[in-house]
Amino acid sequence: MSRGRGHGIRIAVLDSGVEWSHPDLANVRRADDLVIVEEDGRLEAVPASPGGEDVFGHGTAVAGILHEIAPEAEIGSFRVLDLRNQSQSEMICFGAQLAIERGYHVLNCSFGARLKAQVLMFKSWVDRAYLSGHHVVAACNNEDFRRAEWPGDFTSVITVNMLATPERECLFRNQPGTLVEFAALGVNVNVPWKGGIRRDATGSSFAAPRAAALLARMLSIFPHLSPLQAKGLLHQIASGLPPRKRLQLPTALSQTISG
Amino acid sequence: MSSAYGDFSTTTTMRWLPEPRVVPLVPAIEERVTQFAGLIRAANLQEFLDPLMTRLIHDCFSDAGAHEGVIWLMDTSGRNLLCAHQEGPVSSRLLSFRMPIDSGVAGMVLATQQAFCENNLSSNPSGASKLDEVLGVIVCSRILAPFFISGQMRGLIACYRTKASPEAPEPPAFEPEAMEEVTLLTRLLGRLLDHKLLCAAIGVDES
Repeated sequence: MSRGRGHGIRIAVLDSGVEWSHPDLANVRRADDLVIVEEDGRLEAVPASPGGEDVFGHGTAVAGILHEIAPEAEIGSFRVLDLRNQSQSEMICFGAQLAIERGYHVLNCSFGARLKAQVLMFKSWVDRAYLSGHHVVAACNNEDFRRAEWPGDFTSVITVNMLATPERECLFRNQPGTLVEFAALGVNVNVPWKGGIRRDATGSSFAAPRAAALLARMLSIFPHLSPLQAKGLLHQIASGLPPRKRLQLPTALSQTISG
Repeated sequence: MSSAYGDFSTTTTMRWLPEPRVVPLVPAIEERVTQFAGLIRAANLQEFLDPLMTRLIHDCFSDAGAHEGVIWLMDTSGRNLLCAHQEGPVSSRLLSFRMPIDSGVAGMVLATQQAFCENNLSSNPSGASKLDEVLGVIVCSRILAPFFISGQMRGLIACYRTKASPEAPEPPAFEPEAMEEVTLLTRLLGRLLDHKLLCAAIGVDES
């Protein structure tokens, strides 16, 4: 993995769009820049405006992390997260299918959907990705085992939680017993954001692209790894979780809000 | 150290079978719960909060070290967030504020359904200018977590750390533990509300 820089690997960012004109993304090897839109009850992919548009800033952050870790990987943007649309899950599924059809090796999904009704919709393209050798990486901060998140809770997906660690290019193995099998740096990460700025952000959204980029580096050396082989290899090279502080509730120390 | 709310990774295996007379009614009960959940709005959330829930909200906001804590619920159009519950010295100023969700960090959290924390906002040119303006203070750090009732994402639970003026010292950044605290609150409060709605739907006393 230390030799790989992502060369020859294409990563699809299924997100809120990417602001390609951001100074930190100037050297990105850009692939598609598509917006999924609804037209008369039909979904289609249309080219984004020149320079790219990110609705929230989230996709720009994800692309920035991918580029930081795997600088030679090609990045394509599929804008599927947009609350102006009523059918976001359908857009996600359409965007994912499109990314698979366009031959992206890795699909980065820094989101989760929790409606049970959406499980089969998500399962369809996650299974298709698995069967056709495409790798899906998803964010998930789910510590509540009763509440599944899709696509993170599918076993073929590389699901990543956030972690506070100084290791920027390291993947960690979560404790056994959860489908969120990996963790990576996602706490206080300084990331590019829309508007040409940077933000100090915390969230599993920013851990998933780190794993996706590490995977891209691995694939650039071993391009024929299947999703199952790649996940197994990631398990082998991942480190154990560093010690962490646990919640202690309630405390009498931080009564900041006046009652 | 361990959470007073226990280890979430373990539980007792459920050994009970559902009451056969109730099983055929499950879809109707679920429909009723969903219908009741849909009636919860920013304007009436307080009517659904019992003292246990209020205590939980207060404890979690306090333990997160929030200066202001807010429960935001989407309005009927699904385009704005409205303040449904607030704690802290200045967040009552949010009561008539509509936060649009088509762009910005709140919308992002609703779209990704992932909790988000941001520190050092005051060093960021865009910061949280709209909130600053309404609150009359400077928001320095924020945590936003998606909030679900009856399986539907209905809004956000947010914590803010603020300072009174640009010259005032920066409050400490939110640690990841504070973010866990807020996501814990979203889960526990969501379950308590779900339980309340279920009891109402089947007509049993929730105590």
